[in-house]
Order: sequence, then structure tokens, then C-alpha cells
Amino acid sequence: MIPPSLTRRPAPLLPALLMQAIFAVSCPATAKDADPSLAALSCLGCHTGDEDGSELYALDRIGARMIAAELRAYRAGTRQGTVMNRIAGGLDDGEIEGIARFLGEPQ
Amino acid sequence: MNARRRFLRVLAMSGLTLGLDACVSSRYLRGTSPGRVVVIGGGYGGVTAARYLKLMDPWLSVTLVEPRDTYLSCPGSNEVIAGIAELSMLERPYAAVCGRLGIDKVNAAAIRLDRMRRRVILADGTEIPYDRMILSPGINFRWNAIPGYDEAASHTIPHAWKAGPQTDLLARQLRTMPDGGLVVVTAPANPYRCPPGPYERASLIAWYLKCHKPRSKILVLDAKTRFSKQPAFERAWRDLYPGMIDWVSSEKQGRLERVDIRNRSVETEFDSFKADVLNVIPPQKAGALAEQSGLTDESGWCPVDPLSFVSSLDPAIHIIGDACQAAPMPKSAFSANSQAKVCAAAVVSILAGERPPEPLLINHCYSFVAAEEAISISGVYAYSAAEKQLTSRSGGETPPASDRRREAVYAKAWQRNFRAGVFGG
Repeated sequence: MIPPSLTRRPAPLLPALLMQAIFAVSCPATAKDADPSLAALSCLGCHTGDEDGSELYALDRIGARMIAAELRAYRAGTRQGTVMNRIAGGLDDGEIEGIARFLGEPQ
Repeated sequence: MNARRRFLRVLAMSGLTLGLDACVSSRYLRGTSPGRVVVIGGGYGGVTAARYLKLMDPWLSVTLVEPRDTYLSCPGSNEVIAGIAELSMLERPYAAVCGRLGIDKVNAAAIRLDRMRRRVILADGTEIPYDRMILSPGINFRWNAIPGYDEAASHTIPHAWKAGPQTDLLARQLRTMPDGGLVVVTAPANPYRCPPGPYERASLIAWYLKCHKPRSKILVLDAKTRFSKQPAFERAWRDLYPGMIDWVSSEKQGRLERVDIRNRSVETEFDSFKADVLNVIPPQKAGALAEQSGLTDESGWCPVDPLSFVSSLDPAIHIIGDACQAAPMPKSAFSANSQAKVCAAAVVSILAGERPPEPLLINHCYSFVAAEEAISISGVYAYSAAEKQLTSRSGGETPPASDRRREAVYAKAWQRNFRAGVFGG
């Protein structure tokens, strides 16, 4: 008996890539390191869509290098935002790289 | 038949081939048992959890137990009270997200858990088995914690702390009160849902009164001695509503002794206040199902290990959102959303027999202080394995002198994006 949910085609690429990304980052990491891809999922609490035309743009369009550079600038205070300085201040270099890769690389 | 072979057979039978390459890399194939996950509660926490379970493993059986067909967002409901938004704008159907992601929605209330047999019991007696459960039951009120204020009293003296008819009731009372009247809002002690919420409410009521009944006043009787985003709120009140909002710390007035529904008045240890509109925000605890199922401790909230948000009292049940103890994270929609994603990843790992990835969580909350002005608070939280608790990594609030109009633009975009990110199809 096939569960009803399997008779529909699931959302394509994002799901597996999501877990692939999470575990690609998390599996080799040491146990005490936070998994940056989980922080990246929290970023999607604001940065979800591109339809609103505000500064809350979709991060996948600006690329991983730009995301990492912006997060470092917010952390250092060389770029002044509202919310982002507070959040970037809680991230280390590895986490910034991990978040930027997760959100910025084409999926 | 092992999980992998069964999975491939089901896959072949269902004609699903597209995206197989991507899917074989998904977690599920490396697991040892197929998982049945039941999510109870269709708020921001529960729907995000169900959504991300299916995104992370489309072949997982995910059931969402929620009696309503549509959700009413609590974030945004203070704007309805002030007449800036309509209640219908806060409404989102479950059909889109459940339909697109293949979440099996059960339109019924879970009335009991059989934890021994791992079954959810519905009102009609139906039993739903689970391997793991994610419980996102929200809050319940501690009726009668303030003498005179029980559920029946809330039908005339609204709490308006769950969006819906209560929101409408408070809005209607403000519309009919006389100019020059007094609005009294009582704020509870910590912890409770949405720490800055009572002060956003006072601000937006002031905005409404300033536009329509400018001789009126607002009194906030607080069970606390300080509150979330206090400097920015107080600055906004001085700038926008001078002399209109009087916040009274518990140091000054002591405990709330009694609510008198007939006189629409409240008594503190030292004084009595008669209101034209009275809004009592009562003390709170975890949602009823969590309490009845023995998943709360003496605090009234649910103890969890925030590595996976698994209950400290049941190894098969995860609890997220307002109901769980995740301090120093506040009880907010954003926290519930962040916790739900961590929890979904943990559940997928645990079903595969592996340790959950170590979490990093974020909270972020906007509060409107006027129709076009807002302030915010944010925090990043890491996991301490030694203490099995979250610790604050960084955080901050809008400074008192800030660009509140700019934050209001972000706040509106956040509302749209956040609702779409949870409920969008």
C-alpha cells in the first residue's frame, strides 16, 4: 500500500540538497562544532522570497562570496545595518563560510 | 525487507524517478527503519517542522494534527487591534503547504497521548501511531492566577493573546470607548508568549487613540520591573505619545490582587484602577495537551534538550515553540520557526540512527510602535553540550535613537516573507 503522500511528486531538488548540505557540513565536523547549515535555515526566517522588492532579498542571487563578505563586514561594524550587526556578531569564521555556502551556492 | 529495499520498491511503484539522484543522497536511505512522524499543532512551530521534515526527506510519513482549516497569525494581531490591519490578512490556509509537500493533514484535535503505545488519540477515538512526535501545542492560560480573571471573564475583558475573536473584541471595545477614557493593560511576569508584545500593544493602542481619541490615556500595570526593548519603547513613547502611556513597574504597585469584571477595574496591592477598556494578559503555561500528557514540570513548561528539542520526560517526543523551555531564547514565532528546523533535522538524523547535528539558532522580533515605525530585538544561540542548554552568542536591540521608519519597512517585509516561508505552497 502506497501512502497517499507518495502518489504526489515531492518537491524536487531542494529537499535532498538541503539534507546533503546539512550533513555534508555536519558529518565531518567535530562533535562540538555547531552546524552552520542549521543557522542558515534560520536565516530563511526572513530571507525567503524575492517578491517583496525590499532589502530582504533572496540570498541565493548574490552568491556565497558576497554573503560571506557582507557577514564579515557586519560583524566588524564596517557595514552598519539594523539587525545584521547583532546576528553576525554571534558567528565565527567557519560558520560564516558555512552559512554563505549553504545559502549562496546554486542549488 | 530492509528500509532501502522497501524504499526502492515504493519508489518504483509510485513512478517517482525524477530527482532520484538527488534523493538517494537524502538521509532516509541510510536509515534502518521507515519513520512515521506525527506533528501536533498547526502554529508557526508545527507547520515549519512538518514542512522541513518533508523537505529533508520527502518519503517520510508526516502527519499534521490540527483541527482548523486556516491559521490566524498572532504576530500582526496588535495591528488589527489598532485598526491598521484586518484580521483576515493574518489568515493562512493549511491546504497549500500540506498539498505541495505531501503532509497528511488530520483535521481533528488530539485529545490524549498514549505514550506507552506511541499513539495519538483523536476526539472520535481514532488512534494515530508514531515513531517520533513533534509537539507544538502553544500556550494555555493560568486562569484564576489573578483572582477574578477566568475563561468566562475573558468574554467581556479580553486577553487578546491568541489571535481571533479575542482580537476583535478588544478592537471593538477601543472603537466604542469615549475620548478621554482610560485603557488599562496588565502584563504578566516572565516567561510568556511574545515578551515585547504587551508594549507593542500599548504603543499601537496609543497610535489609534492619538488619531481618534487624543485625550485618552493608557496605563500598563506590569508584573515585572523591566521589559524587552524597554529603552527603545520608552523613547518612542516620549517621541510619539508624550504623556499618554504610563508604565507602572511591579516595584511601584506590587501584585495584581484582583480583576473586577463588573466594574471593569483592577486592584493592585496599593491601589485600584477603573478602566474604560481593560486588557488582562494572564500568566501562561504550556498548551493543555502537553500538561495533560505529563510533559511539563513544576514550571508549567516543557523541559527539553535543545540539541534535538526532545522532551526530558519522553525520548520519543520533541517539543518546540512557546511550550518548551529554551531559555535564553524568548517565546516567539521566529524562535518556534528556528527550533522547528533544528528539530526536523534532528528527527531525520535520529530515525537514521545518528546523532543530531549541533544547532545554532536565531531569534528576531519586530515590534511596531506606530503604523509606520518599528523597533527590533535579535539573538544568536548556541548549544552547550555540558549543560544541555542554549547559551546566548550575541544579540541586541534597536538603540533608543534609531531609524524606526526603516525598521518598519523591514518589519512588513518580514511578515510577508515569514508567513510565505511557513505557509506558502
